Amino acid sequence: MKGGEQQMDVVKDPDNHSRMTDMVNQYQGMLLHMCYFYLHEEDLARDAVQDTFLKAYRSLDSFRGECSEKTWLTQIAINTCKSIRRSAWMRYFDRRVTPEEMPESFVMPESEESDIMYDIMELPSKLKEVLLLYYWQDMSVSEISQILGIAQSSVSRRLKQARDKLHAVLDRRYQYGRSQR
Amino acid sequence: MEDRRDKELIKRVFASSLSELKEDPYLAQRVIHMGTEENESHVKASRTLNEENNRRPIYMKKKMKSTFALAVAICLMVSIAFAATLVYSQRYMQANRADELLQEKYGITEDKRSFFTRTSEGDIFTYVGLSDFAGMLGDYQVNVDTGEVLWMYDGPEGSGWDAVKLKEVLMRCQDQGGYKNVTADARAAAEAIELAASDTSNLPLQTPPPVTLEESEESTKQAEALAKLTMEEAEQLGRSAIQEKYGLTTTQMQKLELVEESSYFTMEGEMPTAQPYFWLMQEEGAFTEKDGIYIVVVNALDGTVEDIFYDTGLLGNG
Repeated sequence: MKGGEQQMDVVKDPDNHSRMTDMVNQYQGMLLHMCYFYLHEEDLARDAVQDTFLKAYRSLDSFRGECSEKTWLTQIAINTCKSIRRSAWMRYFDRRVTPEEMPESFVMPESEESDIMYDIMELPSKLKEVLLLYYWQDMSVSEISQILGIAQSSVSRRLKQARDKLHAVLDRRYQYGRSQR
Repeated sequence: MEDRRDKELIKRVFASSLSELKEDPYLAQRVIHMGTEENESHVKASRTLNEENNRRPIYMKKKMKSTFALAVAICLMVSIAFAATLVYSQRYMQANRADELLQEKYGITEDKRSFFTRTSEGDIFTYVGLSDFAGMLGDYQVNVDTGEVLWMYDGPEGSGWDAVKLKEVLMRCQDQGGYKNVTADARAAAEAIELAASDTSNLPLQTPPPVTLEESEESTKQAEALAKLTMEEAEQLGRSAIQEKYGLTTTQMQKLELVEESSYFTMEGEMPTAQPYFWLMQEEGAFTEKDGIYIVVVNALDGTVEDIFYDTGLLGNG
């Protein structure tokens, strides 16, 4: 069977429709947040999520279950975001978000949470991504290594750096370590 | 224990910060619809073509294979000397000449060139004003062969615009100090001047050419397959070229960071290129001379420096 026809079968199969619907319902929120952290723009993040599910839908049959659906989708989403960042237009813009530039819906009253959020946003991308996947998405070092295509030792090293940087900022701001340790 | 505490903290922060980012209830429906629609048209088109031509469809792979073989042959013939000295392409020299000509006629200096994107075709270099300012800044065209420099608002009648006014705006943007102030002020200045020159404000805004993700990914894959240089080698060449062109000090060079996620390989026409992307910020939150984004276009076959783009980041990029 030709590739195109095989793909046609995938998207015509009603079982795949319901499988896809379940996936979207289950992971859309998580992926939207993830993409927002990469792209720093709500509209771009929504486009990236749609593109992620579309790619997943087209290749549902090639997903062999060697990793969890969440890992698979996260991997597609991160690659999609990186492609968007590499596009001709994006390359001219630095997308680091400052508090003043956060979308209106994200503007929060001054609080400890908002300060910490901004500190996390300002971490280098490499450190931020492992921090998000590990602490926020509860992924293991091995899953993160699979998603990012890097060695587990690199993930551990980045995690340590991210943790140290975050603690340094928190200590400076709130004496986080001293009061809670 | 500490790990658990960090996890709880981060989850709390994220839940509170992103609670307004709502899910799209129609996403699943749309994805299924788009997937089905795209495939139906794709399969129909490929069937029709195959039946009409009664031959096997031509796959990209074949083209890749021959291009790859050609590139390997070229690479075998060309001795690569990129590690020792910097080699600049003709395009690089022409681009520098175009920048000089633009500066001579309209006073658009290096830092102000970040308000434009530059493209080229043969001897003609075009500078297009960025984003919201495109209508106000207009397009400039430089012919490096004849030395002719034109602004789209030039002309016998004029439009109420001239180089002096443009300079005023740019200088005002530049002199404010601090990214946020500069950006806010630049916007205010632009709005005021756009109002004053309402006869030209209806000019269509420049938009970047649409680049699909597939095209971008395909171009990266193709360039990576053909490249004889690693990104690390391109980075070294890029650093040397930046230092040579912009005269960065040793301290500035040490602070010049490679932004890995924005550095990539891509095809430019038939040429695979590596494009390391650098970022310099000498003092957190304030603009210092030479701060900004530097992108170096390096020929990934022989290490020739093809172009360098510099953007101060003052026009809303910072």
